[in-house]
Amino acid sequence: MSAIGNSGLLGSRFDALASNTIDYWMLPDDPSLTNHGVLDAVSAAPVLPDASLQLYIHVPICAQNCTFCAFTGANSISYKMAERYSKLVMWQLTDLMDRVQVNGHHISSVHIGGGSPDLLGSHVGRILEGVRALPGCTDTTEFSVEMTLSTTQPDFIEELVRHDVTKASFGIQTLDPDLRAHMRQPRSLTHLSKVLDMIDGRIPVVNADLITCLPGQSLAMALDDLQALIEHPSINAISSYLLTSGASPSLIGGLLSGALPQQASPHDRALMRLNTYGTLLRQGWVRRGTNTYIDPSAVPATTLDKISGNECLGQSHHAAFLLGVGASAISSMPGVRLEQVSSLGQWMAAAERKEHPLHLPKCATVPQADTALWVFPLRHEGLPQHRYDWMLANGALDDEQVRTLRTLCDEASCGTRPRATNSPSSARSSWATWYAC
Amino acid sequence: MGHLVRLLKKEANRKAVDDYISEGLALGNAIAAGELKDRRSVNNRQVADLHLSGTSAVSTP
Ligand SMILES: C[S@@+](CC[C@H](N)C(=O)[O-])C[C@H]1O[C@@H](n2cnc3c(N)ncnc32)[C@H](O)[C@@H]1O
Ligand code: SF4
Repeated sequence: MSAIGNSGLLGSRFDALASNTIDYWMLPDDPSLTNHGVLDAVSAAPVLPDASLQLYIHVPICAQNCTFCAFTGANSISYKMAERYSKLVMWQLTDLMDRVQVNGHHISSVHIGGGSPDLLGSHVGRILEGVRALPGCTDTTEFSVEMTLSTTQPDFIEELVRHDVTKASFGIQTLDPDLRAHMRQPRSLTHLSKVLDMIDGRIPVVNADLITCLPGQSLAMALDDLQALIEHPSINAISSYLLTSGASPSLIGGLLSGALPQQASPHDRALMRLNTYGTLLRQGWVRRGTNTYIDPSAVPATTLDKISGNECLGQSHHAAFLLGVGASAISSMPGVRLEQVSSLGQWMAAAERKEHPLHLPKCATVPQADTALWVFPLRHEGLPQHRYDWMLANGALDDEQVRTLRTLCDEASCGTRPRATNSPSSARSSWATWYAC
Repeated sequence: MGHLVRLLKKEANRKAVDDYISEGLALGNAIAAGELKDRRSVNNRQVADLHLSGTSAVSTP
């Protein structure tokens, strides 16, 4: 690492890991926007040559209240309400699809997330069935669904199996009972084996989420958790997240007041990220999306090919369409960012009236043609040459951005120089294992 | 990776992300100071201004 030659953490220019956010796509507030204006921009969003289409369905209900989580929504939902919500999200999805010019293009992935989608119970089947019937949904469309271990029931899993879901994903975060208790999670993980029994090998990818740099977590604890999950016979995918304290005021408050134990030193935190990715790569696991690694020996190649992955839930590049529906959901497409109101009651009342309940201050109709440049550190595919060339040819990058990219490439490349057009893609692996952690 | 994302963004858009992080910090400070109740609704950033009004916290640097 000293080859990089900087004096910060592990030879980098940085003294600490970043204060991350889960939403890098946000733009400055625009008080002049109207619902009509935003929906007109949705209809006008152009289908560019590099267009792609992904869908996200948000379920804003969760019975847990984990300290680190940015989730805001309801604690529970009745059978009737779950049915109503499932119908309303399908109304919104089909209506948005009818509005966008990309309608009919191949849908590369469908992600049902939360919150705890399992609280919809068997009503998730209505959503899965509705999405499967959309134009552009094919056998190669990835379907991934999140769930919370403590609330998942067999009727929900049966619907996932019946509708050929590709990936089931749940949070473990840490195996340590004390850390779990600090994070207001159930101390014990008895629900893990129950849910794995329900799945019984019938969903091809079973993904567990881990968080590193939790309060009170040491480097050894983080790596022990990782090793235990790598060796787990029923788990074949792992998403490892860096704790994003900025996402949760409650966590920041607990750290500042001393109610929570302190985090490890900046050096150990950097080592947690480096060693997590390094360990998974050494085991031969392959990266997908932003934070996920999959064991290729435990997943059929055709399934692996389907998985585009998009845990950060934002566009990978300017031409991408990511349609998000449900309360709090965010959509992005060329020239538009659309955020739904987070109040479940307000969202449902407006959707009943067939209105899109937008939270206008966080919507935007400003193109971000440079998206692929700043998103690439998050993405498994890095920055493909054609996207970099497109941004240069379309004046999407200013001089400062090009200069910054060159400097960062020089610092991180460890001997691999970008090609003539300054493509960073050749330096991808070193970025992925160190700088991009 | 947040460092790289931030550095590669255009100045104006970088500010939106920085402001969001500062807002989270201001809410966290208000919780630590006992000025804001630590409830799930604090996570609702669509009404962060409402939460912060009446506290001594400032949401932007
Ligand atoms: C929003 S949750 C939904 C999944 C499900 N409710 C569960 O917890 O099992 C998806 C994942 O995001 C990650 N996550 C949530 N808050 C985070 C934070 N502040 N920093 C990093 N990762 C976080 C956790 O790993 C979590 O499992
Ligand atoms: S991490 Fe999952 S279980 Fe915990 S509060 Fe967030 S959505 Fe709920």
